[in-house]
Parts: sequence; structure tokens; C-alpha cells
Amino acid sequence: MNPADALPVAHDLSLWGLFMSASPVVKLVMIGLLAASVWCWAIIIDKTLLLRRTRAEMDRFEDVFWSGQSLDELYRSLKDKPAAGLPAIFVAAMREWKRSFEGSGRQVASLAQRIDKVLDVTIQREVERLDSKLVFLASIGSAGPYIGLFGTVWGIMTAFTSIAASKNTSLAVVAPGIAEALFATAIGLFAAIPAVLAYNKLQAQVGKAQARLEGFADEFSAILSRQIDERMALAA
Amino acid sequence: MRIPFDRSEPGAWISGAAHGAILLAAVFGLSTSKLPDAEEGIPVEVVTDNQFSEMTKGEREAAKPLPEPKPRADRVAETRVERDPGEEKVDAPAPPKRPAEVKVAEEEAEAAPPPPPAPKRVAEAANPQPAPAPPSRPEPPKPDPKVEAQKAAEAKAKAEAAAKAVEAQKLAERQEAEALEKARVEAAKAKALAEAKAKAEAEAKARAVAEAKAKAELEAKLKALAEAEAREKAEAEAKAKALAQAKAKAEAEARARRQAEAADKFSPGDIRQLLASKEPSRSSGATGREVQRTASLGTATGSSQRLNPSQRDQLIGLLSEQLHRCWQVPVAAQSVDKPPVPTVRVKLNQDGSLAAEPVVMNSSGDPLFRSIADSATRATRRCAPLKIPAQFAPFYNDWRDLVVNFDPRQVG
Repeated sequence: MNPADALPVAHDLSLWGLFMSASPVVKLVMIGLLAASVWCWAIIIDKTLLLRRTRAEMDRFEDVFWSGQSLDELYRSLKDKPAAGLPAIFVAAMREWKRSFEGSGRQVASLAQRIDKVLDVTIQREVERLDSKLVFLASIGSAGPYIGLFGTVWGIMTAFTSIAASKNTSLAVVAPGIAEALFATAIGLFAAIPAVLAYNKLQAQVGKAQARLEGFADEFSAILSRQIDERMALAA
Repeated sequence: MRIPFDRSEPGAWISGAAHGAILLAAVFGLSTSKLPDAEEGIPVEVVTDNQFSEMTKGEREAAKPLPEPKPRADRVAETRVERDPGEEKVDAPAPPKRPAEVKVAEEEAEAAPPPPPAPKRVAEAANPQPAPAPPSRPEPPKPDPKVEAQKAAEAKAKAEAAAKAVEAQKLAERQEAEALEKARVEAAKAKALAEAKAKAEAEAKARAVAEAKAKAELEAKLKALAEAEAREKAEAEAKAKALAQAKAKAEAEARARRQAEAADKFSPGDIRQLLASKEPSRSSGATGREVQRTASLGTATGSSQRLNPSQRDQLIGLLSEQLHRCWQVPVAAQSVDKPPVPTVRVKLNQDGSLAAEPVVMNSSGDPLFRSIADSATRATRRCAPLKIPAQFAPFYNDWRDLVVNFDPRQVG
């Protein structure tokens, strides 16, 4: 008996054929991994663009900031816009500064501490904005191969049971089932490898951006505290 | 749910589009060609050299295994016959035999068959009437293959007949003499009684005369009879001679005719001999001691039994002892200090006879080696068939190919 007759499944080794001949569990794994891959790439693209934009904004702001322009003018030009990155830090600190001096009583005693707090909170918020969704990349990078392996093991189990049922161990019978099963691992790796690489790269960029934000915040905090001390000396 | 396109975050769209493009390319562009049809695997059994030589497994389709397995042989193996020195290298094929009837010309005259005993009838006809003194009937000539013998017999018969005739004559004379004597006695008697009986005397005289007359008559008759007999005999002899000659002539003619016939006749025996005198034609295929078209149909075990080491030593000792007993060591080798030791390979059949000519395996530059090796192979041939004890018979595979050292020192 020709074993090809025993297994009416077409031994179509194209991607579509492999997908269609897989068992439902393996199909689910494959679809999930494919969706994860799509989402990973979406995150990678978005984050890359975001980080590039953030960097450009920082450069532009620092140019403006160190150009000798009056801080009050700068604040007025920026306070109404939705801000991100360095401008957000600048606006938050300036807002706290303004509130302290424009109020009825002059609360300058702990102004420097308050400004520091505000700066910290704003930095955290900004970093979180840059950092968001990178965890997903990390998860896919580490778990994707395992998910694919699960699909492979499941597929090989079903392949062996069908081999046992056909009572034939020739390679032509064994091979298609194993190929189908391995396809799941292939998709898992296809999703995981870019995710891991991109995660490492983006994480490094976020770290760099965070360091730059903190550096700016420290410098700005120093400027403001000097101003506070000058004003207190004038007042005394 | 509709995902709005955000210029600042186009990742989802770009990623989805790229994945879709890659998948489409993979499905339509990278589809591999169909696999070839699955083929049935070929089961392979690995057989070692030893297993192969001990293999007695026959044909799978055999109805039942044979008790004594034999390997398949398409033709009889060619055995090279090595003769003792001084003998012909090859047996000259016997020429086709001449049929018994075909004789060379010189023998023909001698081989004339005896004439049939025709004279007997003649002789029987010759003496139809019984005689008081029965004359010797001529003896029928004995069936003698030789004409000379026939002639001699005839001469003897003649001489005998003549002697008989003389005897008959003598008898007749004696009878005559007797009759005369009797008559004389009678006459004397009558003379003595003449005075007493004149009448009686006359009567007696008359009777004596009559008697004498009768006697004379008988004599004459006998004489005539003997004469007639002699004449008859001579006649018969002449007749027989003529008859024998005619017969011989007819026989010779018949012989010539048969000879001519035999020359044309088909004789299968002659043709077989003629073919056997030619070199046998060669053919490929397995060879064996005897032709066996079907391999033997296998045994239950499939492989033969094996000797254990002690049995093997025992058997080898027995066989080499038999071989050495047959060996006449050349005298030159007996006196040498270290004679060369030929190693002879002996292939045996199951009955202990030689399956192939013994072959000397080693060689040596020693001038004695040749003669010792020849004597060793001769001894092997002389010993065949070797006596294989019955308990070793099942282990044929262990002893069918022996290598024996013929060491002159061991024999001395």
C-alpha cells in the first residue's frame, strides 16, 4: 500500500499548507505568535519614532534655554502647549516657582525642596512615557520561543499519533507532521528575535534620555535655587 | 474597534502592513515544490562473514525444511586432478567403440560360422533298416566354428566309418568261419551217426547245407550293405562340403550388408563419448560438488551448530592423525634436521571425502619442500575419505575447510 494513500493530507510544505494542516492548538499558537510579532513591530516603530522625536525636542529646547532668553518669556511661550520631555520639566518647575512668588504669602523657605520634588515627579512621568510598552517587547523576547516550542511539542505529539495510526514509519510519513510542528517554533523565533534586539536598543536609548532629563533638572534646580537665595538676600 | 491613525504612532499600521506583505510573499513566492511520492523502505539485514559461511538458510518459499541442508549449485565445481608423478596428466578419452559385428577383413575368414549339422539327416537316411550287426552310423559333424575343425571332424567320421566297415567285414568272416566250423562239426557228427541213423543223417546234412547256405547269404548281404554304406558316406560328405561352402558365402554377404547398415546407424553411446572427450563448456553460476538447482529448503535453525574449543581440538587431532598415518615421508626429509613443513588446505564433503583437490598453502625455498609437499597432498588424497566420528557430523561447517601442517618430525 502506498503510504501516500493512507494519509490524504497533502504534503504541502508551503507556509499556508503547513498552517492549514496543523492541529487547532498549534494554529492558535501560531496566530498568537504572529499577532505578537505584529504588535512588537508596532511598538518598535512607535518607540523608535518617539525617542527620535524626544531627542530632537531636547536639542531644540536646550538651544533655546541656553540662548540667554528670559525664563519668564520662555515659560509664557510654553505653558499653554502640551509639553513633553525637557519643556515639561521646565514648565513644571517654573509653575511651582511662579506659584510660590505670586501667592499672598511668600513661601520661599522650602521652595527649593518643592521644586526638586516637582522635578523628580515630572522626570518619572516622562521616563514612564518613554518606557511604556517596552516590557511587552521584553516579554515576547523571552517567552516567544517557549510559546513556539509548546506548539512544536504539541504538533509532534499529534504527528506521532497519526504515524502510529498509519502503521508506517517511512520518512515521507513522519516528516510533514514534524515540519508543521517546527513551523510554530519558527514563528516564535521570528517574533522573539527582533523583540529582544529592539528591547535592548530602546532600553538603552530610554536610559540615555532619562540621564539627560535628570541632568537638565539638576542644572535647572541649581539655577532656581540660586535665584531663590538672591531674592531672599534682597528681601533681607 | 477602529484604531485611529496617529501620525505620531504609526507603528501598528506599519507593522501590520509589513507582516501582511511578508506573509503574502511567503505563501505565494516561497511555496516549495511537492515532495516526491513516498517509497516503500527496503529492509536490510546485516550479515557477518562468519554468519554467511555458516548460513544454511534456504528459500523462503520452501514447503518444509530439509534435514540435511545443502547450498545451491548451478554446476559441478571444476576439480583439478593432480596425479602422482609418472602418471598421465589427463585421462585420454576413450574412442568410440566399434560395434561387435564390424570386424576387420582378415578375421573374416576365420570367423565363418559353423555349417549347420545337415549331414545328420543324410546319415539317418543312409541306414534306415536295422542290421543284425548294426553298422556304425556316421556321427553328425559337431558344430564347430572353424572350417578346419569341420573338415577334421568329417575326416574322423570318414575314418570311423571305414573302420566300422572293416569291422563289419571281419564280423561277417568270423560268422562265416563259425558257420563252416559248425558245418564241419555237424558233418563229423553226422558221419559218426551215419550208421545209426541214415535218415537223420540225411536230414542233418540237408539242414547243415541249408544253414551254410543261409550263412553265405547273410555274409553276402552284409558285404553289400557295407559297400553301400561307404558309398553313401562319400556322397554325403561331398554334399555337406558343397553345402558348407554355399553357407559361408551367404554368411559373408550378410555380414557385409550388416556392416554397411551399422555405419549409417545412430548410436547415442558413441555420441556421448565423443562429447565427453571434448572440454566441457563453461557457464556462470554457483558451483558445487553436485548440481542442485533449488537451494535446499532451509533448516529450522537457519544456521549450523558450532563446535566448542575442546571438541574442535579433538576433531582436529583425529583428522591430522589420520592424515599423518597415510603419509609416507620422503626419505630425504627424514634425515634432515629441520625439514620444511608444508601447510595443506583440505576441503571436505560431509562424508569425509575431498570436496576439492588439496592445495599447498605455503612455499619455501628449500629444495626438499616440493617433494614433501607433493607427498603431503598425495597422502591427503590417499586418506580420503577421512573418517569423521558421528558426533562431529552435525558440525560440518567447522571442519569442512581444514588447514593441516605436515611436519615430518611428528611422523617419524
